[in-house]
Amino acid sequence: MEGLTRKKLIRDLNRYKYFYLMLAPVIVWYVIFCYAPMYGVVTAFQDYVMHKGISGSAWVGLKHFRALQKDIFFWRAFRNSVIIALMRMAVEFPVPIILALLLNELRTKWFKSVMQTVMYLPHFLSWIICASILQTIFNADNGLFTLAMHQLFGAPLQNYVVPSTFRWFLVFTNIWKEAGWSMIIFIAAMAGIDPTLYEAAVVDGASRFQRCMHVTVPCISSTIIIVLILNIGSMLNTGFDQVFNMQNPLTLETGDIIDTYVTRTVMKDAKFSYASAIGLFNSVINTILLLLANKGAHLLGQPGIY
Amino acid sequence: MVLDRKRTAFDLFNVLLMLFVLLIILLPFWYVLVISLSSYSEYISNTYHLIPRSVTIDNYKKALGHTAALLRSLGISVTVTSAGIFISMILTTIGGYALSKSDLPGRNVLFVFFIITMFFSGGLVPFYIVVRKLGLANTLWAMILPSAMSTYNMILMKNYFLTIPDSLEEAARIDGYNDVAILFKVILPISTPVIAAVSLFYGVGYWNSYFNAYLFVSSSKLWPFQMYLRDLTIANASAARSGATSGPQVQEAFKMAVVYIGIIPVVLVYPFLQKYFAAGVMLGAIKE
Repeated sequence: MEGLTRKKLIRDLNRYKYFYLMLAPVIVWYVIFCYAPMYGVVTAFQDYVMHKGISGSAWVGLKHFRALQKDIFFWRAFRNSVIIALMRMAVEFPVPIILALLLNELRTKWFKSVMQTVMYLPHFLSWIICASILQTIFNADNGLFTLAMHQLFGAPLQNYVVPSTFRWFLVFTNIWKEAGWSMIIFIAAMAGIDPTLYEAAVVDGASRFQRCMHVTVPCISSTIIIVLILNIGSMLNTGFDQVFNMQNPLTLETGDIIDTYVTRTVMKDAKFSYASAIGLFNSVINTILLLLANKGAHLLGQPGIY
Repeated sequence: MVLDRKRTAFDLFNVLLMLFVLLIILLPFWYVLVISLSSYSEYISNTYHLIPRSVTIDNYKKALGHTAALLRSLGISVTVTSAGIFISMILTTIGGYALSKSDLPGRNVLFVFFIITMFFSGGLVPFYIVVRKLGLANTLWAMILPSAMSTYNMILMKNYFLTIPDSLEEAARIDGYNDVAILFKVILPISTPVIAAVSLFYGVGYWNSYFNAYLFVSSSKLWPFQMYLRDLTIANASAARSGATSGPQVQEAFKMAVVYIGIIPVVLVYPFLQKYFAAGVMLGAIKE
């Protein structure tokens, strides 16, 4: 029996050797850049010193997690992350679905494709470029937005990127940049709907709105749920590039999120182990959210992600 | 839908709404373009910058002709982007091809091994430590190797390879080709759409990336374009707000010209990129 399996193994290895050879560098990359960092999570339980490495640094147990409990700046970042994530979920999430439904109803083909071309474009520009543009538009002295508010509503020339509005600023500028691109997966799902369903609905006397609500929406609902699960699973760490490039010392109060706080802890304070502990805490919460969202999808009778 | 031809009030409303969306998306780009084409006096006298009264390309000339730091950063971005595409494509192609062999023993385990990384990561600090310990800090490699692979793109390629009929490979095998030769001589020549699409996705990613440079490259001499721009606009404004500016303020029109220098390459490849969107999204469905 054992001889047989060994023989089979050798035969397989020989037959597939080139494929394993091809996979080897890929596996090495994943081990180095994905799995080694996963192991590096143990630094959260150490006082990590760069030149001593993981094996040479002292173990300190839960010290950093206890410090975390009392860190008001961490809790501020945590609260901001949750609030911004919920705002994104409530306001940003439905926008691409609604836009895709409206786009789907456009009758002129060329107009539809022009719309898509323009709406996808901002996604491919970096947040540094977009933040630079937005900075100019929201310039407190002569930005287009500031002047428009002044002319149209008599608002004073002022800085709109302030703590009280910063979260909304994030939500709406992200809609401006990403809503079009987020639409693409729903557009693809709509393209896959069987046309006979619409024909049957017409025969049954369904109006256009009814066809949309009773054919289109149910047909893309599993796509909506999958996107929702993925969003929930990563809700605390989306938008880093945006927030990192838009926040400034004045807006940290409402705009500092966990990831930007971790980045500052590493780059400005070089407190590696402490930042690692925050990262681990964040990962645990993300995992729980992902599992809950997936469970929820199963309860709704949807396949979920596994 | 050609089900009923009657145009209703809803159609009119929908078109107007879409035109409004178009305006919201494009207006900022137009506004910034007008500013970038303004001379200093034009910038001062034209309040809204919506209708250009005089157009000059002086800011672009200054940026591309006399700004050594910008030119150097563009050179670095071009180097990183081209080398990055090359390395990423090799890894992604061989990985995706091997994974497309559904009878490969251990394939499912490996698939899970790759997929897990889409949902779990060690976080910033361990990643930072690994890259530093590898000695990549302050080299161009720090901007290439850590982001060389995207699991999503590998699955995209795998799914494309799955659509190629096995008979082609069998014929090549009878002709005495080994699996590596089959990939390069038989499979790749008929896979140009997916190769083009994935290369472009990687290319835009490398062109836009800044964070690895922010983390690992301390000398501004090695900064890519995005870091140069970040320093010019975002970091600069941040410093101005806290009163810590040094030297003269950079003119707004010049900054916006630099912004456009960053936009133009993306817009140039965009039509090619767009050709493959829908196919990419369909192929890339993670579920098997």
